[in-house]
Amino acid sequence: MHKLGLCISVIVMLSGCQQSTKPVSPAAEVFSVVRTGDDSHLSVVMDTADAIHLERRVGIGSPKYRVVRLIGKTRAEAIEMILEDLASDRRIFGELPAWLSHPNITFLDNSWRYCHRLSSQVRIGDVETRWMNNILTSEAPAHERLVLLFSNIFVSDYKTYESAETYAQHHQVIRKHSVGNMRDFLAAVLQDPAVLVYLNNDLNTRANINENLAREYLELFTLGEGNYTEQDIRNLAYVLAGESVNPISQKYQQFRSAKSSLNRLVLGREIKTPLEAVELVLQQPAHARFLAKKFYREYISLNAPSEETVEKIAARYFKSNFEITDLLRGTLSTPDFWAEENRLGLIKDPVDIILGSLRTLGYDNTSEYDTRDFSALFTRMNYSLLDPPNVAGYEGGMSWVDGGLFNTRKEVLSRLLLDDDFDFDFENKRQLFLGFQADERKRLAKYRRKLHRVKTRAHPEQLIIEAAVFDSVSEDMKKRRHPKMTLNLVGVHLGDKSWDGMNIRIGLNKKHNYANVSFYENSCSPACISNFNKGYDSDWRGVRGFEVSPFQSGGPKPWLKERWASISGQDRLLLRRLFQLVHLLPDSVGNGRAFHRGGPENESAWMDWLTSQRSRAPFDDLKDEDGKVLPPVILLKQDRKQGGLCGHVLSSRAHSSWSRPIEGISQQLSVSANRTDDWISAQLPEGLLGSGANALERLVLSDSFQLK
Amino acid sequence: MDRREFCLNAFLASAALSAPRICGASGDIDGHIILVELTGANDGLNTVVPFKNDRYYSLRPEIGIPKKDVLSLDNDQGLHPSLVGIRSLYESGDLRIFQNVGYPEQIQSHFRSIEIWERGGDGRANGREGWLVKQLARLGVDRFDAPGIYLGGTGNIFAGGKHYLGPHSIGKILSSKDQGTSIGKSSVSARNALLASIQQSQKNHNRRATSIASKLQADKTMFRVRGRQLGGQLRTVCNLISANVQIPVFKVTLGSFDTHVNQRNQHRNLLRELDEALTDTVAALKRIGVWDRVSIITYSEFGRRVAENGARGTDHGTAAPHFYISGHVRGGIHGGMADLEKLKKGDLIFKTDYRSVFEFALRHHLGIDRNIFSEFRSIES
Repeated sequence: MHKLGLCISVIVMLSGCQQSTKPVSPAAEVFSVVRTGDDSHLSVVMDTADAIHLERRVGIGSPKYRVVRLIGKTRAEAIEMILEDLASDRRIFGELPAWLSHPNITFLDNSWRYCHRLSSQVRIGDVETRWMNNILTSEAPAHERLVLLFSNIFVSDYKTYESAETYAQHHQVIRKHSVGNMRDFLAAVLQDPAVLVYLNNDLNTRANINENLAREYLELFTLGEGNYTEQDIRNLAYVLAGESVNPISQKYQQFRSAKSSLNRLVLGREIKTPLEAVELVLQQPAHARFLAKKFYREYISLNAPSEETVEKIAARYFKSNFEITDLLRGTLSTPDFWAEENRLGLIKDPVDIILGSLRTLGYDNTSEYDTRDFSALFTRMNYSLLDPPNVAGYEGGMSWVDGGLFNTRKEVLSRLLLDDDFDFDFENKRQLFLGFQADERKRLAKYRRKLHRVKTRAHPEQLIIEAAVFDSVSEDMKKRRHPKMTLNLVGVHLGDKSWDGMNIRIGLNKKHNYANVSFYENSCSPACISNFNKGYDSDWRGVRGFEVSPFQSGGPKPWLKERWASISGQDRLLLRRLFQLVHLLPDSVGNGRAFHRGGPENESAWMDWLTSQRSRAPFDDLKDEDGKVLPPVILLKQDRKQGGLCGHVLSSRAHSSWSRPIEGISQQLSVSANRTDDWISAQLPEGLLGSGANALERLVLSDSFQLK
Repeated sequence: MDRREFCLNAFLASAALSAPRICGASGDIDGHIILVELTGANDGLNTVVPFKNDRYYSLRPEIGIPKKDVLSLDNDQGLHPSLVGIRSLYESGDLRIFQNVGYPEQIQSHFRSIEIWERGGDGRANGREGWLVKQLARLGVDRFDAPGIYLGGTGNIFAGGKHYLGPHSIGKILSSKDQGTSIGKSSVSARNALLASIQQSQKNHNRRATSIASKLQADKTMFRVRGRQLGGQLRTVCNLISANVQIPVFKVTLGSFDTHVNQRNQHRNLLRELDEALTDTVAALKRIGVWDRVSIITYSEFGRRVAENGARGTDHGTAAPHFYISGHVRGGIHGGMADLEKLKKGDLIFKTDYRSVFEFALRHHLGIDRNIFSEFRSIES
């Protein structure tokens, strides 16, 4: 029974199910008849030209020591060596920047712009530096190539959201899965906050469908144009509704009230969940072909492949059950990859031009240029690792050299390889950087110790808030039916529970006359309360809302009392404590500007209300064993330098990288080892070198050096 | 009078010497569009002011433009006091104001929304390339020295296009005029088709660059255009048009209009710069003799919230009025007034799709009757 259930729900690819009564997937049928071709070209023993060709196509540049190890191997052996690098790459997991543990909460952008911006800039610079350092020093450059390729398929960017955390996590998804299985990859992409936000799926609710993600998923991520209908997109958008992001944690969050409960017909099948949408596309023959063509264009040639070649690469990938390394193996094993007419048949991308050239011709601690320079040079070539031009990514091919870019690339190469003085004082600068970082870490540690002290001394029913600022305050308190003060709280602790952030409102409901604290399902990270069963459906992005009066047993109406009763005692304690903030408002919290904005009349209306609420919610309801009154809410003193909100900046600085590989670069990549005349002239066939004073100049400035 | 007729008359009237330059060599273009991006989202209600509407003053007690200062256009609405020159363009029938311009499903992020305006989409779906790129690709870009140039802000409006120029292109072109010779030897490229095609495309690029450079060097006309930001950009536009460089679309940028706090002075200064720069540009284009072939169109990611925000500024909104200035347009106001009675979440409801304005420009000014925005056709001359 169990097995039957599996066969029906997953339908195909599970072993043992294929012989069952369920139909074989369309792709399985198509690819089962594709025969593997003649592989004799793979037993050729590689010479230097072959080895350079393989290394610079599959990786980033062609460092001498990596090429040397391939010479004398057969092509088949060399391909396996490359794939072994992938399997053992230590950079697949881990390596997430430590500042991620201190999230830079985006809502602060409204109320504490200075800290947020500063911190974001430090962090995104760190992401870029880490990425470039990875590429520059990689022992598994084939992995870096795959990361670049998939970053250009599952596109997102930094500038739309300006959240370095989100981008770092996106990069990690790509890094992890680009050597994994496409089934997991697609599932992860559909829960990747950077993708969900970039393609507006946070706006996609069943009441207000947004098709953006559904369309790009089919067109740009999996199948390509022409393999689906507009109706498929529409229906898939319903399936994806409610797949969203918590704006505070910036993590994936599903909003049930935004989800559609019906089955939808997509590509001829009834589906209901995003996971089913993954399986569905995998079983389309178009999917394997789509990726086979992408790989062909990335690794082999800008010319369109023959149908036969596409089928061969696609079938290998399909039969491997969607392993990306097999897709790569299939691509590299085609006769096309090795054919003479395809040598120097690709145009180097900007990463090849800068980081690839440095790997090929040497980069070490003596170079004055670092990742910040590389970033500036990318900009000159209209390129950015983090901000692709649009959802389709870089077009690649001829677009790399269009317009004046051909000349610009030569200028860039000349600057990097011909103008570098190699007199950088690495050790001295490294000590300076480490000293700076150590200071920042000390300040951060001091701040954490202070927080720890406060927490351990506190009564378990005391609410500790690391930082609180006004987000906004209703500016027409007298006229509004639901005037409110919106507060952003960072680092909230009660008993053994902690929240990274909260965006809550304290205000009044004039219709039923009660003071309240309110928030949405996505207002806290983690959730403020254990359940929203008695909450209400808000019209705002289809999330649930919750509003009660903590000092009136929920409020004057029966449904409010029911609501109050529906949550746990601990939840109720939290909401009471939050409401007691009326004793500390407005002066103890930041961004007082928001409180004053509505003018003096409005301000005094709010002050009157706050006073009235202070007697309703007394501040002396918490006593220690000796009967001494304790403040129920503790707001940590804000000290920009010592943490608080700007603790984000502290943590960003304390954990961000130097703008060059801090341990220095492997001896094997050194300038002296890789810039010999022999090695330089081995890069291009005889006759393709340009003119110039020396071998390096002749190579770097030749037109053919722009190709690979 | 269409262009051919106009040019023929000019030719007959004089021996080419005083003939407008647009009538030069064959393949000359039919007109120019100058797009003025008001980056940061211009406050439409303080640009075209509904000074008869009490609700306007009650929603904007601090920042509303006093009735006495408004430069009236008709009985109900008028221009911000900075827009003196633009008002006289209105009086001479050279200005058409499109009211309540926007798009369905407004997105209120600066970046995403300007991307929509520049790629021809709306809040539901957007294109991948600039709408101009799509349109001009249909015409074939080979007839132009360059299909477009942006002189300020981003070049995103030309995203995905080839041969478009940017702010540094002109200087670069002038300094590297005879680059053509540095291209590799043909014997080499014969063995590699890709290299041959790169070299060919590079030759084309250099040919265009050389053509632009020599035209610019041959024309010594000087223009004065005021404005710290816009002045330089629009002066380059005038120089290019005067030198008969074949570029149909220019894009310039003024900003930032993102007036969340104390907007009065900031907005006044920006509008003044807009007014002075556009007035001078119109004068220059008249002097060149092409004024009836050029249209100047403003655009911005969205308008601003109707009510002021308490910091004497305004937050992100939706629809806004935009200017369409040309010697070849029926002056007036299209689309009535901003409706302050019927708001959606405090924002205006858009009535004129921005694509219908661009459709009008493509049809009326570049002579492209069936264009990429034909489905939005609603404005008749």
